[in-house]
Amino acid sequence: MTPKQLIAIVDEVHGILRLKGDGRIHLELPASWAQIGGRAEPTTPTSFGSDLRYASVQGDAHPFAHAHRELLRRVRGLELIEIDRPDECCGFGGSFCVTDEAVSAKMGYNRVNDFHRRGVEYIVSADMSCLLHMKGVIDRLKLPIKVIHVAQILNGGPA
Amino acid sequence: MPAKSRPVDPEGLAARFIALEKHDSTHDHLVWGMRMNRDRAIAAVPDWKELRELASQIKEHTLTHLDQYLEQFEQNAKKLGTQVHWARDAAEHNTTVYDILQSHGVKSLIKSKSMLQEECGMTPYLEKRGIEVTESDLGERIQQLSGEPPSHIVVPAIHKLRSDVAKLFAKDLGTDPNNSAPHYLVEAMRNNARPRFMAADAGMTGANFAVAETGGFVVCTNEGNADIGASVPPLHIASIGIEKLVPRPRDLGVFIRMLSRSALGSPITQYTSHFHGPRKGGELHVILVDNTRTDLLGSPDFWHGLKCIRCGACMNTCPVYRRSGGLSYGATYSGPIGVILDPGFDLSKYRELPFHSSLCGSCSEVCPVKIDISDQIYKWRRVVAQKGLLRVTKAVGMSALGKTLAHPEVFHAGEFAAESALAHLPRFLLYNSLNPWGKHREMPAAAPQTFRQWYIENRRTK
Repeated sequence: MTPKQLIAIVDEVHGILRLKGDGRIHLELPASWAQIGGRAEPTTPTSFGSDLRYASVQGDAHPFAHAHRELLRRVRGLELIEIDRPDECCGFGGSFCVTDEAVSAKMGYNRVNDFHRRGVEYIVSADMSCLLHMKGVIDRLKLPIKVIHVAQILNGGPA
Repeated sequence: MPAKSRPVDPEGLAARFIALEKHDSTHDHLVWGMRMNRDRAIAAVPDWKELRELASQIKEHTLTHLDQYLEQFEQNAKKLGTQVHWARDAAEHNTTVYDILQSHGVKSLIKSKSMLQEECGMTPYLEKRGIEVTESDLGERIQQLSGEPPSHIVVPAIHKLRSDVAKLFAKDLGTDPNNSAPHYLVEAMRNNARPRFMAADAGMTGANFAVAETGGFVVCTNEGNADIGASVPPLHIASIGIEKLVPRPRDLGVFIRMLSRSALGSPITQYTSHFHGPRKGGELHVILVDNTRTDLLGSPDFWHGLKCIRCGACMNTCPVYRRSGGLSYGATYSGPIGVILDPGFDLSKYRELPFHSSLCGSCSEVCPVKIDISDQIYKWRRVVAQKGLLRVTKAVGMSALGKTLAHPEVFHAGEFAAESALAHLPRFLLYNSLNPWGKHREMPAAAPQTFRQWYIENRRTK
């Protein structure tokens, strides 16, 4: 895997993803273009200030329509797992993670445990700070979960 | 200039609530349950998206023509025989209430839930003047007996366990402290409240909506307590924030469809009562209250907050609110809506609230009237910084971070130092009271190579 490919793919995906009039994401890609074995679940990027906000997660009755699921659904060998609270924030929040330590850590623990209960092996996100935070919790709790950037999967699996 | 109020400490208070493990997990579970019920309820309304847009537009239109709608409401209310009063602030509201009560010789008052009356500190004001005030909403009554403000604008005692209520009622109503069966506790309160309803000299309510075209107003409850309070005593006083106006009765068809679905996930409140003038032989007074609302209306960044219909959906979805409990905000309004409304009342006191948020944006997503809540939280942070009210540790940290990020050489030196520290320092130097991250979380592992180093070696083209 080279970052050049990785960036290229992300750019291409940005170009192809479209939010159509019915409020759903439409994506045209070859049926299978990346492969990874395992059970995974994308974590929702925070909608605040994020250019990943293709579709509303909680608003307007499309609770699970978001870009990552649509992308990952097309990855061969990947089983997507539904968790109890798909759109819950992991609690990182920038300086919030240290200035509001108790709440932030509690959110992180609850979030990671939601994935863990469902037997998720990979937590997928395009937001590095979500992954950083959940990794910190996973390592402290010594759970068998890996965090992975969505581009790593789309680029052919974890390096 | 008034003395600066001491700031509330939402982080510290939230940490104390989290330490009560059972309370915290139950609170999170129950409040999240309301969010899920809300999701199901709106999924069953095919035109929810259009309703949201319409609701937002009606509110924006009304707020930008508020002067004419308020006067229209006043004229039409008077035609119905309602007596209309105006209050610039909390103090004027409270003296107006007291004057009306005094002129009628009122000794005891039964009131339904009103966030505006909370905001004005009305109950303690009246109690000091010898008037007995009884909250008739069950949750509010629990909070009144506890000597606490409501912790949620719709479900005021949601932070309490049943066992807490059992202990409280045992003290005040003489029930069995070990019996926390809901029907037992509710019946005890019902039996206690009923004679108070019958004996009260006056009833007070708030209002969810006031209709300019008719001069009537609407009160939504699930317990019917506002109705009995407004109907049994001969005197009914309603406190109405000036932002509660809607132009026409048909607009109610938009908001009433949205209010309870957003709040609890039920199609409509159990009781949606329309008041048009006093009943026969009774008196109806309406107090239209400003109390900082016109300041907000004049603020380009924050006037959208006045669209709020007080459904509490933002609180239910807020991951920070659910872990913190509403009392940790130390204010009348808690949760995301509180974070954007409270600083308008007292910036110094509520300066920490805008930072009690991970800015995940969920509040803006669920708001039925499309208030840009999370954007406003961010903007309040800026106001706090500009007014020099940032906590010292935050001000120093943010200034250092700003300088580091603005100077690549400083950033790279820091990056190198951090990577080295993570790779080589013993655990006790990395994990201690100076590192809040490390209290519950592991530090990231040092990468063998930074992305920048890799890029310079492999991809840089001269």
